[in-house]
Amino acid sequence: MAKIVSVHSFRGGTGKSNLTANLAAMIASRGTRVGVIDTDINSPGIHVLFGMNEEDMGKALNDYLWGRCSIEETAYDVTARVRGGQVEVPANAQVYLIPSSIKAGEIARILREGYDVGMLNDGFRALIGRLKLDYLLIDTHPGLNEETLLSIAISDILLIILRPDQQDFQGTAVTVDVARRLEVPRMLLVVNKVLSAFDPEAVRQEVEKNYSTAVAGVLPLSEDVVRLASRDIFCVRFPDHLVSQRIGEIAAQVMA
Amino acid sequence: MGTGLFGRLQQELEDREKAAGLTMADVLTLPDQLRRLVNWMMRQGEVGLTDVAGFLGLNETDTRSTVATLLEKGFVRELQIRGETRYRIRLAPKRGREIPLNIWQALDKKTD
Repeated sequence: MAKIVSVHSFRGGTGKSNLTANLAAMIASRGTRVGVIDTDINSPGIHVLFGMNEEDMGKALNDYLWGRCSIEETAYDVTARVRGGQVEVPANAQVYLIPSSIKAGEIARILREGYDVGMLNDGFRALIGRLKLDYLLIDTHPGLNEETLLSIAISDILLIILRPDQQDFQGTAVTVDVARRLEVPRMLLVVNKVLSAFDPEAVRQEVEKNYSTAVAGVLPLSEDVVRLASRDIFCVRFPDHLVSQRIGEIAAQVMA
Repeated sequence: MGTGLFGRLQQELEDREKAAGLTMADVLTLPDQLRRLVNWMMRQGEVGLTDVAGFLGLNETDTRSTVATLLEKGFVRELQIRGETRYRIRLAPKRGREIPLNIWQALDKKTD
């Protein structure tokens, strides 16, 4: 039975797309088939981590939502990106990316005309069946909008990423409340960009207490991650780094 | 109208306005019993009458009545799949944003 995992944050800039791409690589490296879909139609970006640019992108999620093609026609096999680094990846592992269009006119059109939200729900299910996925990771738009709420509603696991910041703390409380109303079976928090001066275990305990929700990982603020600047998938490039180890632990919890 | 789960669900449904589908914001504001049913149906994708009866723990007559009201309110779509009647939550289309046309034209030109 495939698992749908939504990765969400209430505010932008938390490292959501980076975490999603890294989790996809880590989960696939354990011999699974993973799909990653960018539902951040307003401001897509995860394709960059998989080495795609506007020229590489033929069809995108937008084309499916406009009825121009099937959802699987918008899926790109990006397994080579995951195999390209230092991580040993089993032969049966596969990673597909379903990007959102990066063309300004196409973003404008979807904002102007809207789309059939039911198609998005159908598309998630069709992808799982037709690409024989074990995991579908949904990279969402920050905050709460129709597609984000839908992604949360149909998820088996919701990963909420936050920074140790008062605005993030308040926004996360809203997301946790919404996820409870939508009866998400499993919710996990990830605290990202934590200063080295903070004790990660103390941060974990504090956050778990405040939200009554399990923390899957506390990731340090890392200059190495910043330096890579989304040019590659960090865990693939630096598998022995502390950040990669922590993301590996989060992946293990998602797969548990 | 009876009491118990069936009565509560019917009342919750009767209190809702007829709509051309549910928005996710609508789902969040639904009363408890109805929201649970909608959440569950969304996760399942398509369900048959027996599935709904099993989820709600209702008999066939009450389940048919509940599904008929969901259909009448525009919250559910009926499908025929391989000769079987199935039901799916009807999500309302996301409306476009009403922003002055010249902004969209400027963005369109950028990609010409």
